[in-house]
Amino acid sequence: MHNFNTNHEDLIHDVSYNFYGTRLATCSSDQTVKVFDLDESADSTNWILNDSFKAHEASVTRVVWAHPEFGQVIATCSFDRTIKIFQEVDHEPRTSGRRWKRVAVLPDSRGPVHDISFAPVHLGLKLAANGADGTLRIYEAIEPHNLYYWSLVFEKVVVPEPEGAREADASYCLSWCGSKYAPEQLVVGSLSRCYIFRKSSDDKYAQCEELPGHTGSLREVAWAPSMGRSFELVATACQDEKVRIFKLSPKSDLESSQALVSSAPDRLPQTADTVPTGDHKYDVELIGEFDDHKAQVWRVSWNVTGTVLASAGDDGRIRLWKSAYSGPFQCMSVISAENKCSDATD
Amino acid sequence: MKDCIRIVHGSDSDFYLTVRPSEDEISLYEESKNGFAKIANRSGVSSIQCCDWSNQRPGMVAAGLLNGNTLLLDLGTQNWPAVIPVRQSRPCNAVSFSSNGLLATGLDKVRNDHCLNIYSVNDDFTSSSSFQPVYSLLPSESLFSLAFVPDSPDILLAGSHKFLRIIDLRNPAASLQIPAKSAEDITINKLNTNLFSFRSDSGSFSIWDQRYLSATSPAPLFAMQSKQWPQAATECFRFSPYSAQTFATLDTYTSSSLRLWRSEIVAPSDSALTLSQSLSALHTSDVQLPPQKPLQDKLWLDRCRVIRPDSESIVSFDFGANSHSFVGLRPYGDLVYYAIPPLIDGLQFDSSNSLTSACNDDLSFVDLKGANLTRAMTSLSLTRGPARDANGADSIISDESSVLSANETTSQSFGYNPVTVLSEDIGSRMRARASLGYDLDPVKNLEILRSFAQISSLQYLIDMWDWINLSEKLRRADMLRTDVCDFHLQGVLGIWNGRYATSARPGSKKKRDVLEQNIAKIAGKIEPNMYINSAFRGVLRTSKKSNYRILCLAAAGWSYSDSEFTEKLQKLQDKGEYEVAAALALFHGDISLTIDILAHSGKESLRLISTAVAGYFAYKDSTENSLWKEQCRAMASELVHPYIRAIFAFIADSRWHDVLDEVSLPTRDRLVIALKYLTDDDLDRYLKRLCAQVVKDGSLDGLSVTGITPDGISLLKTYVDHTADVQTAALVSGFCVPHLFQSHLAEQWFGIYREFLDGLKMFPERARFDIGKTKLGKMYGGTPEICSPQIVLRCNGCNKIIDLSSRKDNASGLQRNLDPGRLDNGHQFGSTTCPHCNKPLPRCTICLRSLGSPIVGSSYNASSKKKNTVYDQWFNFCLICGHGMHAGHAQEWFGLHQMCPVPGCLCQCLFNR
Repeated sequence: MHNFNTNHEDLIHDVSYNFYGTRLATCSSDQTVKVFDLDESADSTNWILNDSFKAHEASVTRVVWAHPEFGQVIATCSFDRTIKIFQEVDHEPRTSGRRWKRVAVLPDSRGPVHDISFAPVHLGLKLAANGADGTLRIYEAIEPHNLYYWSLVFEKVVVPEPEGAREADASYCLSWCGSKYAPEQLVVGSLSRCYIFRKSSDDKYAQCEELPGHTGSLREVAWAPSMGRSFELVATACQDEKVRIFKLSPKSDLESSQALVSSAPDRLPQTADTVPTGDHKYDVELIGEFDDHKAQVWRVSWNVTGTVLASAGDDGRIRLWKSAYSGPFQCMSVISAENKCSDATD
Repeated sequence: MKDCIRIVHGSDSDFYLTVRPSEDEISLYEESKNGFAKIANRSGVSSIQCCDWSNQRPGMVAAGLLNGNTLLLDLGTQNWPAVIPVRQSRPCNAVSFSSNGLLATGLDKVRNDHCLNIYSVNDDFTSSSSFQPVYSLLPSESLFSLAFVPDSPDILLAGSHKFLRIIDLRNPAASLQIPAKSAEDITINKLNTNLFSFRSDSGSFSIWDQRYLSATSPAPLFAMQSKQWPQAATECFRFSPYSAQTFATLDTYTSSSLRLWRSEIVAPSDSALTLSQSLSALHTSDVQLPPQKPLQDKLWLDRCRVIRPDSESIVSFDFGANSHSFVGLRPYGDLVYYAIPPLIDGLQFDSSNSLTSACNDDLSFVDLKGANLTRAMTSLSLTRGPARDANGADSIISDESSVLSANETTSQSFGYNPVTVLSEDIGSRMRARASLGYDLDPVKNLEILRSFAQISSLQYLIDMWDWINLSEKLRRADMLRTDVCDFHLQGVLGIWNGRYATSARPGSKKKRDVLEQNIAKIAGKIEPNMYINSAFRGVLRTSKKSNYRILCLAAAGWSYSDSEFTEKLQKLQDKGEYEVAAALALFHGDISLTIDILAHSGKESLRLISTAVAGYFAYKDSTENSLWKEQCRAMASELVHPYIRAIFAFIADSRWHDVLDEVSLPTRDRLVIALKYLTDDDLDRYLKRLCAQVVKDGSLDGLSVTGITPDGISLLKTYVDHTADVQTAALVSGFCVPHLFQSHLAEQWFGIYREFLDGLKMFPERARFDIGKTKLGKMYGGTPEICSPQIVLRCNGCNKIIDLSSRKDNASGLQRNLDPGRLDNGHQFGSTTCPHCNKPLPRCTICLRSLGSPIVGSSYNASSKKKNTVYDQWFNFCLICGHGMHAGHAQEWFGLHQMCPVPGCLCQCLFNR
């Protein structure tokens, strides 16, 4: 474990890798966004500043990369109620502050935007946002090569804005299901409610299953990469000091696969299984609930195979969770983050 | 006044001032190596009501007393304090130093006297100095709190029992006031002096902005409302001296928990609106902008962290000497230091399983990038992190093996090194394997797997690839197929049922006949080379499906001739695996050989076992001797080594049923026993049961039962559900899907595995996977899928596609143009027109000649050194502006320029990729 000084002047609120893990973007309370490039020639990891620029008029809460198919594009959201889209301009020199050009501003939110996320690449260039006005919004760049025009394709109040929203220690979050083989869906956490929104067969987003049991504001939700498994995993980080892991098992698929194993000997060998049709439904099962942090949990994140979950809490520790072969998830490792200054003074 | 602590920023170090009316004591502390050291103390100051310190004169403290007098103390010296007396005795509730040497004192109200007196304390004074107020203000208005604004010393905030006033000393009469009952504890944010907070009579704090107090209905920026914060009976409020947006509170309601608040001041929402309007104004010229109103900024709460002091409660606190510490005051006067844990906000894995977290304003990495991984993989046993658990479990839970460490049931953290956890994760394993060339070649895969350090946990993968390797060998030897039937990779159950082998229609009588014939044909090929002893010969004779059995045995890798078998046993013995060799000999029906192997093993325990087996051999035909059998049965359940256990399970009652259910034996060995000893009906039942079992367990060596068939896909599905090892699933199913059968799941695995490799930039590996799969497909007569052309040229004139491949019959000029063979002749380039409508093709923007014409230019003269290559003749387009030119010209032009060569076109062709 090694540290890297970003030279941000205030707290970092988000760090985000691009698809290949070769670029890194950070955003901070100092209202700037920084982009770093991996020095791939070096043997050890070495991040080189690509550019640093002021992105918003208030703390930048999230920064996310679009899939490289759409070019070098990042989106940011902020307490200043806006979402901005930036595109890299190749002919501007590095660290000039001009390399990332703002190409669009999405000003629809009436409150700070807490979380944004690009949909998986096979769904096109789509961006979902959730913020303090309790509203889930989904934008789409209809022509992905033209990032100037984004249309709001979906808008729904998930939870009504609480009274005195500004004073509330509220949080809003969301996460897309990345699987190409599942319907278009995302999990949305607003205050203490957590829902799955799914595009139904009539091409409309609908609020579906709820992931129950949260007794505080949801700090982050993370939909695990499914990696070809027959079920989905969603992890949540909650103010109520718990990390929760939910298992979503499709309702319809189960019978068909059971039928397969005991199929008659003279079955035609053409197909081994069928493409799931119709509207999906999930059985939601809480398979893990952990209060190891003993403090509120801010972050959860899955690795690329959806087999290791990292959680970060107010105790200043990162925990790695992993399941044994079909067993329950367990805390495998605890990483203590250290304060930089205290290291220096010791 | 209650006990309190404040940080005093000195010029080179920070001090902590504690005021403890309960002990009549004012002290100054300094942070030292082992805690806090008291550097100055003044005790015996009775009935302190309020206190403030001067930033001008270090050590100077003013304390308001119950009788209304104000003491001026210099903690640095032990001089008796100067006293500022009052005319009429009443409590002094507030004192405040300004930054230019003024001291304000606020008193309870009495008739006919001012309650706010301001003195100049600039000059040197002694205990005998007499003080006259510079200003006397606010008659008959009880004051509770006072605060000078640090950077504008003429401004004083005063909280009385009715109002909160902002008094400008330059014109004290025109004070700004807002109604506020008993505004206590006014605190000003030093980093943004517009902001101040006070506590109202309800006990809750609110934060205000001075600039917006003149509004018609002034509202706080932030009010800690009891609805949101029911437990917030706040005792102490402090703005952070390190960040303008941070403040902290101490609740006494719950057992004194510190709350660290981060806020965010946001410009009024109108500005956002204006932004969108001005944006839209760019597009539609006339937009009526609404008249601007000065709107109040709003403070949004970003987050509230709770820092719980571990044991004892504290009565007061302040921020410490750096931004991530607090100093608290205990009820008995001790100082205590609290570290604020770093805020980890931002946590993400990258595609190579490295974890990055944002920790305050830095990033920390758990790094698995690049070469680190393979090193970690091949020497995993060394990198086992400092395992802290007392049980000394030395095996981390491996996601693939079902072997768990002993303390798996406890829910405690394991405390492994995070790098170990991540590098043993399936994501890292798949990456390491792929980077070593793990692919569709079983031989190579076995080599790679055997090179890994942690070979025992990979045994099931090795066994599986062993079986696939064997099947591939049989296929290359053409052993398992005829022209009509192919039993390759069908698995034992597949062959036994003859389920998927032929393409003839199912259920028809004809299919059965064809199947029988072909199986007989294949069995005839195998049988002569197979060692068949008398016992098995007997089974074969009574079996109706004896040919099937022979095929199944071959498919399970048991088509040994006598000499091959002896050789295999010898190999095992050479490796020291006497147990396995002995058991195999027994499965083979050669008990004397078993005894022999055990006896010559050189291990004492095995020699003992050999006598036991010999005992069985001697008495095997007797039905007596139940005591001996009892012992064997007991041994069979107690012994550790699965093969030895199997031997005893068999000799206990001369039956194989217990052995067949021994799950620790490899499936393939159990299959061999079943095929050799069970009757047709039993075998049928056993295979079905075994198949259901392996599919349910997802155990990969069960593939020898199910084969790579739809049942095998179900098995892999369970395996993937358990392990997320989509790599193995994709590779294995790639042997049969899609050329032997279709599978939606397998196609998913292919897609996901490809995406996985893409995310790691392992494009060559991904391409090799695709190539390997297509090759396998071709072997079965499949046709490779070629994706349709992604770009076509369409004629501007007739709108038809200029398709070269469809015009192979009469090679057009274009065709010749793109055909290097023709170009080498140095001959004319043919048509420069559309083959459909004969309109000219687009022109090169450099030479202005049509597409298809030869390239000319200064560097293309015959004398030029530059070689006129085929590529230079090709046509190149910018996909943004649509202008094109010869590739050679493009290279020349863009070597010098970035912009499109067409006059007036501002396209930055070189960059707009």
